[in-house]
Amino acid sequence: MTSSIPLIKLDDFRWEIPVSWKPGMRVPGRIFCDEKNLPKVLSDRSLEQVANVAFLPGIVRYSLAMPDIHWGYGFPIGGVAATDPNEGGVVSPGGVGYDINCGVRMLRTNLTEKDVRPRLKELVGALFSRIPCGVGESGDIRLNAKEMRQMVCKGSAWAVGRGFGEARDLAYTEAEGCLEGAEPGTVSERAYERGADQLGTLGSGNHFLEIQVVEKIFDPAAAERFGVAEGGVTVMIHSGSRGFGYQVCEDSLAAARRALSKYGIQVPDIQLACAPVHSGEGKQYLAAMRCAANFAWANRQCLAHLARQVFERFFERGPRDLGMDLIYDVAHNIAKFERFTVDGKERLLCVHRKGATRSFAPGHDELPEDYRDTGQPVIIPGDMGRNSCLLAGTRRAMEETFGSCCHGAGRALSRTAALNAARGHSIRRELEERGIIVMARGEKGIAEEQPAAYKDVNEVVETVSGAGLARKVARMRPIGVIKG
Amino acid sequence: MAYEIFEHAADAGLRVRARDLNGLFRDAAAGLFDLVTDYAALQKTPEEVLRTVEMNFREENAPELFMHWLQELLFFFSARKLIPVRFDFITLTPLMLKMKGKAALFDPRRHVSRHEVKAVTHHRFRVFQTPGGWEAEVILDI
Repeated sequence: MTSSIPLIKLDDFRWEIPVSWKPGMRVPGRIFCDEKNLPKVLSDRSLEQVANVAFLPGIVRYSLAMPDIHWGYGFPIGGVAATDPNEGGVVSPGGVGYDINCGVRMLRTNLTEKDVRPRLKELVGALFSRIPCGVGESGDIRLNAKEMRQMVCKGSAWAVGRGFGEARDLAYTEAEGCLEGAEPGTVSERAYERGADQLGTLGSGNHFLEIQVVEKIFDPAAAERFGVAEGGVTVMIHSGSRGFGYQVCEDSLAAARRALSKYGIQVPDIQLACAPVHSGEGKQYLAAMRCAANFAWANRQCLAHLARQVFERFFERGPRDLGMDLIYDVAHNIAKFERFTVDGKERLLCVHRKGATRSFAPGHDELPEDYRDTGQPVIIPGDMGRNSCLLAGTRRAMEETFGSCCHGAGRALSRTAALNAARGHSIRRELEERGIIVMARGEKGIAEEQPAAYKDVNEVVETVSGAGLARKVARMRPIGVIKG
Repeated sequence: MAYEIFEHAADAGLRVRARDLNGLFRDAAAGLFDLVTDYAALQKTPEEVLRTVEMNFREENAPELFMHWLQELLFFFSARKLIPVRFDFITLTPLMLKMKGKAALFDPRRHVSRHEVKAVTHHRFRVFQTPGGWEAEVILDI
C-alpha cells in the first residue's frame, strides 16, 4: 500500500524516507528494520504515518520508526518524535496514545524453575485469583477524591507510601515513577470516575503478568548487575493507566483538534492534532498526561506488590529470602522532556514515544548507581509462547533515536485472523502441553493473543541490537501467564 | 446483524448502515457492546433491575453527534459498568440527541467478557447519508 514511498537503504538496519517525498515534511523519516521484515512494514500504511509525523512543527532531526512499527492512529505504533519547544515544537496527544504510560516492569527472584515447576498451575491460579484482570474488573484499592489527586501527583511514591512496595523500587523505575508537573485540576471528572476502581488492575487485550525463566544470558556482567541468571525465575508485568489514561487522551484530543486552527498548524491526519508545548493547550495536556503517567506507575507498583504478596504466601518465604527485586520499569507510551546533544548543542526536547521504550546509555545520571556502567535495562515483551528479552541502553541510541528502542514484537495477525487460525484447536491446551500455563477470562482472548499473532520478538531484538540501539543481556521464556 | 466488524491492525472497525438516525445510533450501540460482551444476553436482563439512563447533548454536525454518542456509551460502561439496552430517542436530529433509556449492570463474574474498548478514535471516522439512509464507520481502540 505504501510501496510508492521512496525508501532509501542506508545500511542493513536503516532506511530513510526523504524529506522531499511529501510537501510539508520538515525532516526525513528514519526506519529501523532489516530487509527480511521490510515487506511486513510495507504491508500496512505505517510508513505513510512516519512521513505524516514529520509534518509536526518543531520536530528535530527525524520522524523515527522502530522495527516493531505498525499502523496506529496518527502516529505509527513504534514511532518516536522529538520536538524543540523553543523552536515552536508541539506536543501531540496522539504521539502518546490512549493508554498513557502503558509500560512494562520486570522483577527478579531467587527462585529457579525447579522451585516453581512442580506447583506451577497452583501458582498461576493464585496470581489469577488475586490480581484483577479482564473487562469490567474492579480493584480492591479504593481512593477518595483527595487521595486520588495525591496519587496522580506522586505516582509510584504514593503507592510505596501506602505500603505497596519498597522505597528501593523508586530508583529502579523510569523517572522514579513520577513525572513532575502533574496538575490534578487539569483532569476531567470523567477520567477520575473511569479510574476510580481501576488502580491495581491489569486490564485486558495485550496486557499480562508472566512468570518467566531466564533461558539465555548474552551479557554476563550486565545480567549479574540486573540480578538475572540462567534458569532463574522472573516476573514481567505489562499494564498502563487504564480508563483514567484513556479518558485523559480523549479529552485532550478534542482540545488539540481545536488548537490546530487556532495556531495555524497543518497536519495531514486529524489524529496528529497537537498544540505548541508553550501554549495553554500544550501545557494543559502535559499537566493532565503526567497525571495519567503517574497513575500508570502507581498501578504497576500496586500490581507488583500483589504479585510479591502471592509469591510470599505461596512459597511461605519472606521478601528478602525470595529476592523479588524490581529490575526496572519502563514506559512505552509517553511524552517527556529529556536532554540530548543535537549537532553538538545540548537541547531540552519533548520526546514522544508511541510504542517505543527508553534506552538510556551507560553513564546517564537518571540511572540508579548500580546501572551506571551497564546502561538502562530495556524490557521487550514478546508473546506468550516464545520469548521476551532484556537489553541495555546504548550511546548510539542517545545519538540516533533520542535514547529510544523498540517496545515489543509487533502484531503479525489481526484479531480476526488470529481467531480463524485458532479455530478447531485450543491454544490454552497446546501451550500447556509445552509447559506454559495460561489463565484468562476467555478462550477467545487467548486465541487473539496466541504466539502466532505476533512476530518473533527475537527478530525485532536482532534488528535493534544490530543497529546498536540496545545491547542484548538476557532472553526469557514464559512458563505462566495471566491475562484479562 | 445490522452492523459489521472489520479488521484494523490490532483493533476493530465498526460499520453501521441504517435507514434512519435512530437505527444508526441503536445499531452502533449494539456493535460497540457486542465487542465488549454478549449484548443479546444483556438485553434479556429483567426489566425490574434495569437502571434509568439519560443523555442530552448537541453537536455541530451528524458525525460529531455520532462520535459523542459512542463516547458517552463507552463512558457509561467504563466508569459505571452500565450497558444501555433500551433506547427511547425523544429527539434525534443530526445536531441534537435527547434519549431516555434503560441500562443493565455489567457483572464480569456473570456476563461474557470479550474486549476492553479503550476509546472511539477519529481515525478513518466517517458518517454520511446514503440513498438508503445513513452509514457510519469508526475504529475502536482495543
